[in-house]
Amino acid sequence: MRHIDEFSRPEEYISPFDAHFRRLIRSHLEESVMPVRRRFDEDWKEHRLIEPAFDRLMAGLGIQRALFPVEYGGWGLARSDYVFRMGYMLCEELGRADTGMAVAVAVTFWPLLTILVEPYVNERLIAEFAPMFCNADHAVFAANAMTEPQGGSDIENLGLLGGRTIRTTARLEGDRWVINGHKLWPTNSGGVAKLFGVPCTTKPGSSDPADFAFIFVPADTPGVTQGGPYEKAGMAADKNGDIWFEDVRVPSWYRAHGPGRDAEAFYQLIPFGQVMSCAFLTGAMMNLYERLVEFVNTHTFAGRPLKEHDAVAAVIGRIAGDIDICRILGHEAAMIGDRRNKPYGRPLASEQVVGRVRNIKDFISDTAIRCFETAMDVLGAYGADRQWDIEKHWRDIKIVQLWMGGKQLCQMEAARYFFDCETL
Amino acid sequence: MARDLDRLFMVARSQTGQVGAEVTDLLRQWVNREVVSVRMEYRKEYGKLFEQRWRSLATDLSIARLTMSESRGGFGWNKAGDAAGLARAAWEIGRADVSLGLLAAGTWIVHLLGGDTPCLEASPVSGGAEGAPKASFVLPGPGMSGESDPLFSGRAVRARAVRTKTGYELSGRLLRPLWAGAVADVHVIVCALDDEPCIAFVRAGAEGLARGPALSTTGLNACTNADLTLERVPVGSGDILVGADKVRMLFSWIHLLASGVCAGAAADFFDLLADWADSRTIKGGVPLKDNPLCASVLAESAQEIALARILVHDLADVVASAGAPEEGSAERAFVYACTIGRRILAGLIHALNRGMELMGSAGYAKEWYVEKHWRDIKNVQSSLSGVGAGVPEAMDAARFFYGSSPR
Repeated sequence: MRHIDEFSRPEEYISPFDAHFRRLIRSHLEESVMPVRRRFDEDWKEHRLIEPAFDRLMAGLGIQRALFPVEYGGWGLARSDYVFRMGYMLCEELGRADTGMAVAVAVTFWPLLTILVEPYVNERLIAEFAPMFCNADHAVFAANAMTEPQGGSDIENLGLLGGRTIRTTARLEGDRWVINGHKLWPTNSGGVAKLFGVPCTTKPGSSDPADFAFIFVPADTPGVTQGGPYEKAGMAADKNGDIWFEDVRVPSWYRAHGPGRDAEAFYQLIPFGQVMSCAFLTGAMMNLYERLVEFVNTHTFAGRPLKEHDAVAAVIGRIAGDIDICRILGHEAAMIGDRRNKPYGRPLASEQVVGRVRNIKDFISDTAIRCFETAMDVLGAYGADRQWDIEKHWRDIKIVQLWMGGKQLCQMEAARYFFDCETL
Repeated sequence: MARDLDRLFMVARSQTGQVGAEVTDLLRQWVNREVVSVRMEYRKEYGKLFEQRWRSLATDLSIARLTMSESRGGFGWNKAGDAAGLARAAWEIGRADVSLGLLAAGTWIVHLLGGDTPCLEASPVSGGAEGAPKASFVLPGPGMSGESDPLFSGRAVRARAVRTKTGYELSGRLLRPLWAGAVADVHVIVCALDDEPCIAFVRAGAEGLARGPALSTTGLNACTNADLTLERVPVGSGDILVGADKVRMLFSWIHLLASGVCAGAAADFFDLLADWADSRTIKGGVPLKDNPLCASVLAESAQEIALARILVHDLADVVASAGAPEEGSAERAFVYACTIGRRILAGLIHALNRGMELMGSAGYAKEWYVEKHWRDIKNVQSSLSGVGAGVPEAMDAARFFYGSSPR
């Protein structure tokens, strides 16, 4: 059997730390997560199994410290040239084990990127929030409270709407921001996150980037109310719920950067989210390959091992080929992110980066869904059996295709970039 | 919004007529009243509640007796020509829940194929008003490496029957049934008798029959599955139907009725999607359904469901034609049933996938019920793929259309 590490990546893109960290994380996940993941679905509400697994991963291995500067006890990853590629490696390994855990970890990094990654660095906020993550002996999560009830993915369609549909408001009173609004579905909500990044508007109805604000809100601030987790088709390790902000007061300097710069810093989160989505998917696809190899070696059609039947071989060959192609594309997307500060790169907040990265994520999402659906059909009556793990991955990754504006926004962003569309 | 699904998802008049109209009307009312209007209660405990609904469907409406002969107190829909009526009934129950529809279809198929078998006489499948019978089906499928099984069109037949003085003995290890192996009253098992494929009817509790632990699967909540192991299970001489054509008809009926059930579930999905599209806006206020891109996705979803319903009734015609004495009619029905059934299920999954794209996270949350139909239909699609993602069906079609002998 080929090893999963033989799926292609552009070798020159690989960070020097990749092999070491990958080995460490893979070994941890194979020992602590993969043996119990089949029971995660029933643990969606209580997280009795999942929470200790997060503690071991995030606090024990120290993943939650990764972005923060070394002087605060972090690993300094946000200041490196390979934050996207290392993030990809981490999320790919996590996705191989459990996509729900992968997204919970990645989304903890998400709002923090707005203050940690050049050129949008806020040293005072780093000093304020680093201890929360770097000094904890248990898993600590953050969340990006974006989606609103009325707007769906509008908040991520900044290219067209410029934030004019945002209804969560921020009003400056003295040295405090007063926040009011209702958010839905953030990963790590449902009572999990200790810190929220909240996109809001200082002038409802405005599409002026200067009126967009990105403000950090500790979850225990008076006026913050969280609902219980939603019950979903999959992704049990990722809790989602409602969050209400009622006259929530935070210091004025909890705003990420200020007028104009907040919108730019927030916009760069979109490529990061899309690249990590690709990593979740290729990680899950690599595990699909591992499970499929076992099935086609141990089951037969027409008296031969499935893999030795020409017509079945064509089906599984296509699946493996698609995994290979997707992994190359995913690493290309990560490299687009890491080229952001290079002379030959483009800023994360540019239409070129957003359009191209969304396009890659859309392609990988569709391909991954198709591969998993086909693989379930290869297994036939065993396809829905949790013992084979493929069905769980299939349920889990479906939401990756749907989130962040889903397929249609990916298509629109790609069209805007490649065709210079002016009215979409 | 109340939508007339029959008007939206039409079926040629020649394929429906008035046969069974009362039954489908009754089923429609039951489904709307007992499930659709109270569906939010169901997500708290799908399995338990759908189990209760199956009991109600089976006892209050006696739906399990639809295909029993009139002489035994049934409705007498037990001829190939009743395929269209059964497909309509399957569609209606499928709107409520795929697993309920599969349980109903299972009991219908048992009577359609094995109505005269002694095993059924004393089985709950033929029971009185209190019975809520269930059936499971072990079809030929993937073989296990290291085992040498007889083949049915390339698919491994992993159960074997041998003759005894009084009938037969059936053996097989870790057989994977369709859908309700852990709870079935009757197991319908495709087996090999002197390498000839046949169908055995085995009652739950038969000596030598062991059911493994309940399988952990997702979806199909009214069904619980388990592998079966048979060690010299005695089977009466009248409880085995011998011949490949019998197995072909079993496949044909399963494809027809499972497709009908899933098409009904997809029609219910359409209703939910249409509600969503009526109430949501994008781009700061444009109704979702009025945006050209979203409208095209909505249309694609509806088109697939509409096509699926037409194909279900075309397939019913094909199955009905298999009742003719003409040689090869069962093989033709089998090839067409597998081909059309696969096309229907692929189209339905495509319809749900596209609709879910528009609903985003709401389509993924149990609150909207959409994801349940999606999981259920995919479960059926995979299990009816047999093995190899449709390769056996492709080989069957190659044999039928080209006379080839793929090995």
